[in-house]
Amino acid sequence: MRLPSPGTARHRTWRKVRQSLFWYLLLSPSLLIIFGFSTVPLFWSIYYSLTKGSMLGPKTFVGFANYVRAASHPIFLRTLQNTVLYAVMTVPTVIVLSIVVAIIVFQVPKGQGFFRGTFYFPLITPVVIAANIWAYIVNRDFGPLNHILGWFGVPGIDWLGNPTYAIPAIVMMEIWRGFGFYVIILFAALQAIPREMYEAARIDGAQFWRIIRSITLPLLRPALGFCFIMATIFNFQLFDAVYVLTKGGPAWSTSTVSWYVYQQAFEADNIGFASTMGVVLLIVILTLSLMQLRFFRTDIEY
Amino acid sequence: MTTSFGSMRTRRATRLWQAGFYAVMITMSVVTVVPFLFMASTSFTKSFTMMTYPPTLIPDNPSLDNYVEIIFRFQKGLFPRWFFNTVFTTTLITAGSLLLNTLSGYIFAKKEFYGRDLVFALLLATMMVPVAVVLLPSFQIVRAFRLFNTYWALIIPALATPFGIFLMRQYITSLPTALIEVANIDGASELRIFWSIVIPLSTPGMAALGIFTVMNAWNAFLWPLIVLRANEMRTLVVGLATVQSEFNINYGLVMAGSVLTVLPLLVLYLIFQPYFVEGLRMGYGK
Repeated sequence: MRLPSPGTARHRTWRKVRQSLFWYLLLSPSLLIIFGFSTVPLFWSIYYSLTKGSMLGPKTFVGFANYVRAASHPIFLRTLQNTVLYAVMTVPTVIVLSIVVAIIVFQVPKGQGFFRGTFYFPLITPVVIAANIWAYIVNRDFGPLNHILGWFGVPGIDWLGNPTYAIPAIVMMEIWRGFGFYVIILFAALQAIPREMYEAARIDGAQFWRIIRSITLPLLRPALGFCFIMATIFNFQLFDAVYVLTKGGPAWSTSTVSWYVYQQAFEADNIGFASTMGVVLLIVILTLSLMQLRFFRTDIEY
Repeated sequence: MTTSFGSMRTRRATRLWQAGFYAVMITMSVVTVVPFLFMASTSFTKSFTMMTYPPTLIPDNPSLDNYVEIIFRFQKGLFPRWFFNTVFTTTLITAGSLLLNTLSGYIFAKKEFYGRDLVFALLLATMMVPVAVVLLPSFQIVRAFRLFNTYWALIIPALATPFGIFLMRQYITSLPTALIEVANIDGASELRIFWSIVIPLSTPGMAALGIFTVMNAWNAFLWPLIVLRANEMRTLVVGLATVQSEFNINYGLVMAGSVLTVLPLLVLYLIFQPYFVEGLRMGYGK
């Protein structure tokens, strides 16, 4: 309990100002680091996106020319299309898989912790290493995946060298590596649903599927929203796996926006255009996140 | 009304369902883990023999050659240097960020001051900004401060994170304010209260944040890739990625390096796994 401070209202205000300054002083290292490496660079990037030039050389102001160029730039549009494709293939699949797995883990009486720990395990390994392992798994000549497919008479597929298969190969890796995260979140949400709700439904004679459909899924809605937003933010920024597995090739067929931004900024030294693409990516991610926030907003409390 | 026959039937049905569930879960666990077994098995295989077909999980002539090669011979002992770089930066990042994030989380959780909720909302909003947008200017900030190719380029930006502050705020909000206020009445200074009351009370939350921080620092890729360009300054992960692309892929060598990189994380994960799950749950806010 706080002791009432003596003095007039003006004294109290002055005291709060002094205290605020003190707390901001203590917060200042954190705030400087976080805003200094996110908000400041963000506005800096927006400024760069209106210029043309190299990293160290002079930059000239060109207005919205970079955005106009981006709107009809074949490689950028290809990478944007790829980025959407990765997300569309990965996000719903990984979340549906995670719901099923979380519900099943929740049903088994023993070993829940073991299964969750196992499914999360790929996430503690660096993407680079997971991708290296994956490169071996899907290798055309000696990879285990083609070997297994061979049992069913499927001829050896050149997963990473063929534009048609390269994106699915990377998507499979992302699903394998990422689903444990959503399983843990959804499992925690399942645990938070009061048992009485299930018991009441069971007494009413509801069957398994009916309980899932009319109790579990609606009550999981906030957690599902969280998962969808996280998955969208992660998957729209795919970079590490592309770097290791395909370097965006063959012929940009697996390149993502993040990879192309990196390539344009640090290899081609094309600062203005790289920043423009980054800003477009930001707008896409923000729009999708806000749409998902609206869609998943509920008033359910339990 | 339930007859004994009915309950028998449902019990048997439940048991059948559960057997099915276990079968599915065990299959999925195997699929999740098998790729890592391939990693381990390849690291013990001499690279020319591993091209043999079909792929096997147990190498015919297991050998430690790849490990000897990557630790002692590879580019005149570059790998141990990468290991040191990673351990050193991860240690400083974890220690520093635990301190800063806990302090900030505490202030946001328990103190009242002008602009608190707005600043906190702005902090959280920065989590939505994609790395691709901030990468280039951040790189230029690092160069302007002459930190390019130094450990500090890696350490300083990681010392405070919105996720870390959020996590610690969540945790400290749930602590009883009375415990902290008692010391206030005793006349202890604010920093003393933080050090000798808030930190000891926050250790479970800090353990969860610490394990996340270690993983993120150890596994970081894009940022170290651009700010540490000198070969001897690289971290393990970046080093392994560049070995893989600069030379002809020697899977055996890369996998031996990968095993050595993952092993410390695996040990930490096995020890701290309960905190890990708890941290994720707190982060989600349930």
